[in-house]
Amino acid sequence: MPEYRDQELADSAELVGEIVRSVANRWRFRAEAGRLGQHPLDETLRLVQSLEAAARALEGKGGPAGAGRLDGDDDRFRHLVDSVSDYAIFLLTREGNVASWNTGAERIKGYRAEEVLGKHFSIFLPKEDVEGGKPERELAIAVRDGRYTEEGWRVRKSGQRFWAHVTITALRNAEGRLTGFVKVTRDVDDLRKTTEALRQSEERFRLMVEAVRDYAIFMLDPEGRIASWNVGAQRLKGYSADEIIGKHFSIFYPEEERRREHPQYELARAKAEGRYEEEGWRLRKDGSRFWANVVITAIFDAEKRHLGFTKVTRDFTEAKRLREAQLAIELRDEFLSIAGHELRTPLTALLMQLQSLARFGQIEDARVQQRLEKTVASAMRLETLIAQMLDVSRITAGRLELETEQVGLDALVREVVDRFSELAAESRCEVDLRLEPVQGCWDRLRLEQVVTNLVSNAIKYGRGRPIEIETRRDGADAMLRVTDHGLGIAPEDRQRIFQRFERSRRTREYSGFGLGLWITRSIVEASGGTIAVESQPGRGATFTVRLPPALEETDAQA
Amino acid sequence: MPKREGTILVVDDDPDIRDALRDTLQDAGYAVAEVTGGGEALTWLRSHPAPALILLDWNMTPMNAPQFMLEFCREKPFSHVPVVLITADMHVNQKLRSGPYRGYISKPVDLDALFDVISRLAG
Repeated sequence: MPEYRDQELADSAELVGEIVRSVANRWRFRAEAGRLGQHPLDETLRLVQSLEAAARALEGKGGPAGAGRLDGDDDRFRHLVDSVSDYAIFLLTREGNVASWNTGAERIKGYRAEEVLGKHFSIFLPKEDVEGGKPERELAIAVRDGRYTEEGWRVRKSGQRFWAHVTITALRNAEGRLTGFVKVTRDVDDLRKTTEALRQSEERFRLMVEAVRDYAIFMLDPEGRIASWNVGAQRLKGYSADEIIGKHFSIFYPEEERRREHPQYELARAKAEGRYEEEGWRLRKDGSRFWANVVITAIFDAEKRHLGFTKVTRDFTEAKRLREAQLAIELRDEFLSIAGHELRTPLTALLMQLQSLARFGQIEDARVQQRLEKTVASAMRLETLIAQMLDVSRITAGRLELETEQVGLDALVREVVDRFSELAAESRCEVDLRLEPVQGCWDRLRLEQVVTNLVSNAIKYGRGRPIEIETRRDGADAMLRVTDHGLGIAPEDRQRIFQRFERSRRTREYSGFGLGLWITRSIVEASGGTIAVESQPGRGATFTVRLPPALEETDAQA
Repeated sequence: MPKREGTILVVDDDPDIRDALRDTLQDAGYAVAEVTGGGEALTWLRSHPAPALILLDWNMTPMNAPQFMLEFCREKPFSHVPVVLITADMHVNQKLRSGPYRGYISKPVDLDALFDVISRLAG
């Protein structure tokens, strides 16, 4: 059993009381602050209350007046200290030998009282510390300052090290003579491990942020001076950490923004609202501008104190260019559409006037009549070009609408060829029709456009040679084939001719937008079909259109 | 050109188109009246003998063709007059279903098609 030196304890009761109270205060503070970690609150509060009671009892005995009145109270204190299991609380002689031992000491250090009493306390320290004279230094400091406190490595009986919080308090009697020491040791190994884990996790996070390349991520102090810097920031802004940390972040802003104090405004908004985001021009170290997306977030600690800001900056220059390019395309298509409609109205009036003049005007002069007819033809060509322009704007805007009905492809081909009979004769193109009846559910007018385009191309490029046009069933699909024996299309041009504004290189001398085959392909594909070309340069070309009998309906009932 | 019975009412908000239609139809011997929109057409119809035919532009503001037809059909004295739609749109089936139209003319106007429709409906 522990052996107390009653007289010494009585002399030092006040001091021990103070220590016990400080321990109690510390735990009460932690309990109230909610910083108990794994310690249960109710047990901690019970312990605190016990310690506070003990402190009160001890403080009542301090000084010369209390020296003689230990008796029962002292037994209670001894019992209390004995039962404390979270702290090793024990007495050392002036020389540093263990003079008492409690439950906590046994639990933490692993020694039983009978094994340890009378031994020098250096057995609790690592070997290298003992060799370096640390035990003696600890006691010397306790003697000089009244108390020695540290956190450091201690050794259990098993040889295992643990991280300990240690307090050694010098005990003196009423005359001020050193009588020994009280040593309180707490095992804070778990706390150390938790703190270490937290530190490592913070370190990993810091390393991760530092390594981010595509985002500039850095911190600002409350005044806006740069406090940290990552790889992304260096890459984006061109400054190294050494040259930028400590500088005010307004360095990234163009002169005019600085002059109207925009950087300060951003910080004020972020501080007031927690977060501020904007896009705008920023400067690199070399003075070049980039379009930045900026998010500034204010940081506060648990007590709502403002610590500074984090700033994340991304280079949106490309995205901005892309957006602007898209907008330009949209504007162009919108313009094409409006221009097309606006041009068409007066042209309609013009055509009607010319045609009625040609028909009803009493024109005696054959040359006037002839020129009137040529004017009509020119106006018709203009009308065709405008119609193409409108088709392009519809197709690019995804507004090509199909109105399907039952159509006989063979009959439709015959109608179109009839319309071209005069032109074909003029161009000395003999048209050979091989038409099998083929029915399908298609957009009549759009399909007519497809046939018209292919037939007019065949006449245009196959001048003076025969043309073959064929319709037939090909499985479930309808097939249309238009063959000319003209220029043909070079292999490298065969894909290009279906693109917008493209024409075969050999056909540059022909007029037009080069939109016909692109529109044709768009209509065929919108109808669920395909178009392909085979050609031997110099021997002509064959265009083959395949169409499903009806557009795949998404609605089963339709 | 021989004078023909009845008047053709042209309803179009574009002055060039109105002129072209009037000139062409007058050349062909028809009497033509012209107004610039649906509202004006209703006013004209209420104050004149019923015409032989109405040529109605689809796209007009403030009163477009369907809005005009709603009012037109309620007016017994002239609701029997055949109405022919004029439109620049390629697809007319849906538009024709929006009212009791008797035919349509596409822009740009083909004169043969125009006279076919007129002679069928107005003689």
